[in-house]
Amino acid sequence: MQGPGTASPLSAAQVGRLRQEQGKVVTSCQEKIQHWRKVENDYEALQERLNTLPDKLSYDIMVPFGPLAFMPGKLVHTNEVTVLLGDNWFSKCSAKQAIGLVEHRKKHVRKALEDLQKVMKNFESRIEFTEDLQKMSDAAGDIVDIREEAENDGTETKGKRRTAHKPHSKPKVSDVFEVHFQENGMDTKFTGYSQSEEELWARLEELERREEMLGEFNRTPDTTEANGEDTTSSEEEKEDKTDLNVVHRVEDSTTQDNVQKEVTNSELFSGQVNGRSHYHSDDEDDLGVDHFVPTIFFSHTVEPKRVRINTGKNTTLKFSEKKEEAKRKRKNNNGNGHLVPELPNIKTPADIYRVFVDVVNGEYVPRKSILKSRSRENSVCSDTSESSAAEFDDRRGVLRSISYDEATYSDNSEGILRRKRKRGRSIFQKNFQPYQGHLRLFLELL
Amino acid sequence: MCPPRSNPPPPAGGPDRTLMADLIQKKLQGELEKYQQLQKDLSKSMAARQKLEAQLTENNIVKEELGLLDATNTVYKLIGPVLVKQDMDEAKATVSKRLDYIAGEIKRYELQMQESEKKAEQQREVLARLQQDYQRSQGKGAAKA
Repeated sequence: MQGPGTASPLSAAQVGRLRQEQGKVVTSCQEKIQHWRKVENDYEALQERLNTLPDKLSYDIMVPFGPLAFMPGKLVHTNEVTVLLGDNWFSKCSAKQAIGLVEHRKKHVRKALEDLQKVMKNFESRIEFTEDLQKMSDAAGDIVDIREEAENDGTETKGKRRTAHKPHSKPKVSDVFEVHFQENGMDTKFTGYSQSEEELWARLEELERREEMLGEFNRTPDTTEANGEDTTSSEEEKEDKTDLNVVHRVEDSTTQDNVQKEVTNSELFSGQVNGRSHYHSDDEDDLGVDHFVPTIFFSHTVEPKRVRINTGKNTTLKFSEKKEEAKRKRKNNNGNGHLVPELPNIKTPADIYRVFVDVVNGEYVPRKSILKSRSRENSVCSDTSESSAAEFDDRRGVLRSISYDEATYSDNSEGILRRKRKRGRSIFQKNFQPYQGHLRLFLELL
Repeated sequence: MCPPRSNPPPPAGGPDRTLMADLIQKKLQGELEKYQQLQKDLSKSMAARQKLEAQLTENNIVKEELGLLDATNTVYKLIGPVLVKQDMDEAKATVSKRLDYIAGEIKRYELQMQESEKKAEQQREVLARLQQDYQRSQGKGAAKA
């Protein structure tokens, strides 16, 4: 959308220019501050001199004689000082009075210094904000809005952004920038109504329209979220992540650009680490990012996203996006799959993977044989191939028998692991082509 | 066929349009100059006002410092190369008068600046309108061509 997106008063060039001007102000402030500091130092030196001057009745000095010569002479009447009061006014004072006058002047200087520093700080924070804005807008050029029509609705995705919208996500900026920047407008506060107001409203409407179009994938992250509509989000499960997302969103929103994608991508990966429903974030984030940047309509095929989970000796477990699909398919079926008490948020079979993957010393160790009586620490799951987690339940019965047989080998070393793996594979390859590696895991889990 | 023109390249047709465009352009230039003049006046007033402000601050300081002194100090005024002795009270009175004078001057310049600003604004509108006309005429000329 060209309207709200590029209607922002701060286009890239303008932002650059703004940043420049602000930089100039700050530099000039700094120069002035330096100048005043020097003046203050001079006054201090002067006070020193005035203090010591009346100590002697007269001093022997070398008097400057023109620009190039000195003459020996005497400094007399050491207590009498003719002080320039300003504007061609002079007065004869004693040294002490002179000191008093100097002190009075220093007050002025200090006041000027303080004002300058305040201004400088003000502009420095403005600059920071503008720089962020610039970065975002630069990045936004690379960011393309990807819109994905998800098949299954609601459920995993969602609305996390709506939850805990952090009103103070941009602490620095909030009060300072009200005038020209949209940062506050973006935030929940909406305090900074200024020229951006109209644009904000335009954007709001735009985003609301999109909201309606996308149904539950409303993410009108920036402004509308900021309005505190976030609380209406219904996805309770994603709360943690939503907070994350929201925070990110808010941060991004301040820049008015659709950088959420970046952020959410990073979230994605972090989500993986967390073992949380990163798939959700995946979906959500992809979906949620619709702003005024060029839009790619993306049908979400599961990208093989490999999450390598070190499952013990030389084995890693790879999550793949296929699981996500499977998860989606089975979403309704499995629902909460196996609700393992360790991780509360299990809505899909994929969650189970996460559930069963414990973080042991920073390593991911899948939970073995949850359904079995024993559980092994060393995972025999050496899945390095992708397989979807679908048909999890169906397999369970079949696999159970197999797994029980293999259970006897559990105590042994890797050789057995390998053997198991092979065995698992062979079996599965016969029957369940698509579910090669991971089924192994299922076995174990079962 | 088209009479040679200095500024816009003569379009294939519609000499009327080019004539109009020419006129508009001349007008535009005239208005632009006026606008620039106004801007210069504005900046001059601004500079004068800033100078006055500096003087205001300075005289304020002098006033305060005179207050710090007592009657025993002699006050001098620098007139050319000469330091002329002044009476303390006289000096205080002079400084106060000067302060009032400066304040008045500042107000005057302020008003002047506002007027200049208004005029400049009007001039800007005129310029914008002229520019639009010019562009339209040019466009029409091009269309005709």
